[in-house]
Amino acid sequence: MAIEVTDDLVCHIARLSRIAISQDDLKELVSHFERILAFVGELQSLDTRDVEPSMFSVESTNVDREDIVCASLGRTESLANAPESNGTFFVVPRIVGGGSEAGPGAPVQMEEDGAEGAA
Amino acid sequence: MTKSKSDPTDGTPFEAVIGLEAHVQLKTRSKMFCGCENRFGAEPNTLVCPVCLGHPGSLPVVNRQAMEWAARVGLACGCEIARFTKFDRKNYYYPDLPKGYQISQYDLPICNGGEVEVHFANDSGVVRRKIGLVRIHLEEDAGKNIHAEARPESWVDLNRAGVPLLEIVSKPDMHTPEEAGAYLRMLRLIMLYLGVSDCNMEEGTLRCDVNISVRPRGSTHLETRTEIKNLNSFTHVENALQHEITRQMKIKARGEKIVQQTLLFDPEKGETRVMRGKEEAHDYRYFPEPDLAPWIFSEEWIESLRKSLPEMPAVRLQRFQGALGLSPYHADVLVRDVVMAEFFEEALETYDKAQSVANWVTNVVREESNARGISAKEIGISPARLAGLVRAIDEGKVSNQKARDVFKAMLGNTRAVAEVIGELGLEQISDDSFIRNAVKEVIGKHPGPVEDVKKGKENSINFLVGQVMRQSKGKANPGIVLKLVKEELGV
Ligand SMILES: [Zn+2]
Repeated sequence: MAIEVTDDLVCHIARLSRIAISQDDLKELVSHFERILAFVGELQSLDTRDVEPSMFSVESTNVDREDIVCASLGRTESLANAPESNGTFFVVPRIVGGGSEAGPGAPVQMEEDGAEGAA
Repeated sequence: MTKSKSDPTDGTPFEAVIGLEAHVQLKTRSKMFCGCENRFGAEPNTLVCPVCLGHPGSLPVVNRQAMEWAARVGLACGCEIARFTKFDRKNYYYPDLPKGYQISQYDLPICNGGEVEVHFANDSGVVRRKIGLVRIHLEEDAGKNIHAEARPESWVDLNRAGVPLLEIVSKPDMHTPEEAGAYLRMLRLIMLYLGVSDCNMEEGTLRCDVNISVRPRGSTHLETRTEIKNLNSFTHVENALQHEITRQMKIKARGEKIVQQTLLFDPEKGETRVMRGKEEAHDYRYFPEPDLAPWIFSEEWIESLRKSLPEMPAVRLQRFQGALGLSPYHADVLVRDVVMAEFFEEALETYDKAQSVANWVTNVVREESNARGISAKEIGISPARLAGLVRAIDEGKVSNQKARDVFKAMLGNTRAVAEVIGELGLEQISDDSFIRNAVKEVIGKHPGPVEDVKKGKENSINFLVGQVMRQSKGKANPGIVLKLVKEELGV
């Protein structure tokens, strides 16, 4: 089940990732995608009929912790790496359309596909 | 059992098909994958760390309590608990999702199947229904976006990012807004009984998405559906469903097609509108979370969790009506308030006339706690003392009316019932010879009404009883007064 890498596919992935790409980038990315898929595709040649699918790269299970509260970062520190903040909140381009709770499954919806939006 | 919304498909050739996706925040002390405190209302961005901020190089670790609670909820709903489960990444970009993916569960959720038994009142009496579940899985909550008023920007608070969230997906088993409301209320009650969430819709610890389609009555076909996102009150759920079912019926009646779309409900206008966003955004490219090891629930673990389950609301309702013989109304009121139900059961240990105690708990105790906005346990009378008061009423030591004054006087202290009744001078007189004397006296004074009674005028008996009550300053036992008036007049 080879995947055909088209301009549309790459643009779609770029939009989902909210990465802006130019026409020049597009050409190069299509070929990157193709090479990566071809590389990974080599695995298809292996016979895996009797192999159990694996979910995780090591054997361990149930790696857990007790429900104990640990110290959080101070606010100054938590905001320190943000591209933009107002000292209390992270500041982002305006989000429109109600759904403040992205919650699970809310679609991406920024006011404009602006700055880092897709072409 | 409040009667709620009517069914918009009533009298139409249509039937609505409703499924619900509920999101329940677990009240663990710490977050799902890090040790940050899980608390509502803290100063923005103070309950965050490199893990829940999604800083590179940080690694999540599963909160065992959350796993256990998820399984507990599943067991309470009769789900099959997965012996092997894992987490997956759900990839999407949104400002309140710091990592660019949500840790969720895709193909191996903790719980599969199950059902929730709901009951509600409608025109044909109390309806009991079982609503099937598809699955329950565990994931992390996102942060919160705040829309700046005057500036072209939004603000993000990540305190909620990483809080454990249970997603409970029902089958499309519901057909009316009231059924959906009853289901959601029962889900909330189950969480409260299990002690795993406060399910406070104002604080967003219970949120809900609904999906709706409309089909010709009698059809079993599933038709194109719409989804309404992020409903955060029971009333909103019912109102949104009413509106959307009506809208879809109108479209179908015109012979047009329903467009599959995601909607938002505007509670003020009472209508839905289409949520902006491209459908292609629903391409989450799930894959197994490489930072978290899979999870195994052993048979022993599941068995010990099963044994630790408390009595669930549906079972308690049956017991209150069956073994305790309560009226359906009283049983329902008690079951819906965990603290009040406990109060009731403790009171029964002192005085076991269940219906008498239930009357008092669901009326006077409930009024008091509602009026003061506190729970039954906090109003200042122990279940045992309340039970003592109810016994005093049943034994005729104080009238049901006067007992309210006794109740008030018992709040906030530890004095015995008899002492309070005595001090207030509210002892009810049940002494036959005393009352008979008073009855004779009244009969002597009112020959007119006495004649009327003998001619069959019922009202005049009440008049005579009233006169005796007045003469005894309200202390005579009204039941005995009535009995003796009838005896003396030979009616
Ligand atoms: Zn954290």
